[in-house]
Amino acid sequence: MSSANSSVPQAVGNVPIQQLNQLSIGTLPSVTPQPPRQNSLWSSNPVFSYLNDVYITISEHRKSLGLTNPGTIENLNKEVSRDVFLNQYFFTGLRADLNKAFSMMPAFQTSHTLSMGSTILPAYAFSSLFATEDFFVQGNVDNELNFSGRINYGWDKFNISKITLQLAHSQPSMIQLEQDYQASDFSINLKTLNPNFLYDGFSGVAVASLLQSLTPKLAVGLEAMYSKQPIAPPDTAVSYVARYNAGNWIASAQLQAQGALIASFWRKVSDKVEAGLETQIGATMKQVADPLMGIGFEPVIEGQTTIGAKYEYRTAVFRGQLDSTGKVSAFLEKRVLPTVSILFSGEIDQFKNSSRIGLGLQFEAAGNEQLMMMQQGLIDANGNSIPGAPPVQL
Amino acid sequence: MAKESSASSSNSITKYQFTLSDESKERILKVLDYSKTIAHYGFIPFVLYLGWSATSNKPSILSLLSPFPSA
Repeated sequence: MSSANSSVPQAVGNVPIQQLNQLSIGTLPSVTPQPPRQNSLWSSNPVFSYLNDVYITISEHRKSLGLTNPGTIENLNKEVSRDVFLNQYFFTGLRADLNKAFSMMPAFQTSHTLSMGSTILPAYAFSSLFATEDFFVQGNVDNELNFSGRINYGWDKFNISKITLQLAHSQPSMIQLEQDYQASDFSINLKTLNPNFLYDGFSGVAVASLLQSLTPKLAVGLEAMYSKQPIAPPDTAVSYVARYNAGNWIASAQLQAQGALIASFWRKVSDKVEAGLETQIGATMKQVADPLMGIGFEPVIEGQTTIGAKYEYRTAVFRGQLDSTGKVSAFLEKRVLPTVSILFSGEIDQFKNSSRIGLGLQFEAAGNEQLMMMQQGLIDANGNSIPGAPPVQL
Repeated sequence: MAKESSASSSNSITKYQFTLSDESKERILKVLDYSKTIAHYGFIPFVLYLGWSATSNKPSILSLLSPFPSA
């Protein structure tokens, strides 16, 4: 602006007043201020300034598309397989969870789990959890001293590093290092399982995945896996994924390297009810004895479909599912007191005529008086009393 | 070991790998083994310490380990 002003008087002196409109005065600078350009070698040299301009144009165009972060490949069908279906929640036998909270902000709690009659759950397990805004650490140990631990650290809002450890006396130990990068419209995830450089280069499993939003609703991605064990030849696999998120319904598909296709569909029926559907189709080789050809292999296509629903009530959550192998299962979680809930899980296999059942109790205890009052719904999170209010569900 | 490395370097495909003597390999394995043991037995006390130091009323070790309400 100042340079334009200083050049005007000279120009007026040379041009007659009738030809003012022929003056070469630049148009007014636009209202938004130009970002200051650094005059270093990097931006002033023609090659880099061209590249910078290209980069800025592309990033502005990307911004104008209005894309959002698509989430990670790990959470591709989270709404169906983890929220609606009860695979994660199902248990058998009797179990009791005794959770004890010591602090809310940072979260610190311990948990004792007792279990009977289950083939998967250990008889006793102790776990403790500590979480601040950018740091999460959790450890779990059972009565056979099998240990698993997890550390997550968020460097900034885009980068999260994760370490997962599993140590047991009788089994080989497992360590997984993971780095998550979630940018404005794509996610990159790098992870490696049991990396080892001591024997003839890298051995272990390395997985890299990329999920990119193409439109505000559609995201596509791929995942590449490289696995190498000492002596054995390396193995690679690439799988492709897609996810369409339309707000109240989400469809996702995965094409895995072995030829399996997993498609899932999630729909929010109402604000308390969610439904999910998942179909898996896989091609496997099956050995067959043919009278003419002898023993051979023929490809067999196997499929399985599961349909499920989740109902959320004020003090209870109900999950039910039905799959094409004839299994009907249900999981109910009901809060009977502000600090006590009952868990029930059951499964009937209609084709095999077998059934499994699980019953559990969950207790919430507190490490100090304020938390105890909060758990019983007498005060809110800020320590203010709630006179005559219905008990708060924590 | 020396034979192996010369053989791999004579190959047209060069392998990028650490050439470590057997002793240092053994030492690294030993250090890894110790750190595994430390993680196995020290992780939960470490989490409990972190939580203990962040909690305002500094609960006692008995209260940390017992499942019953301590208020």
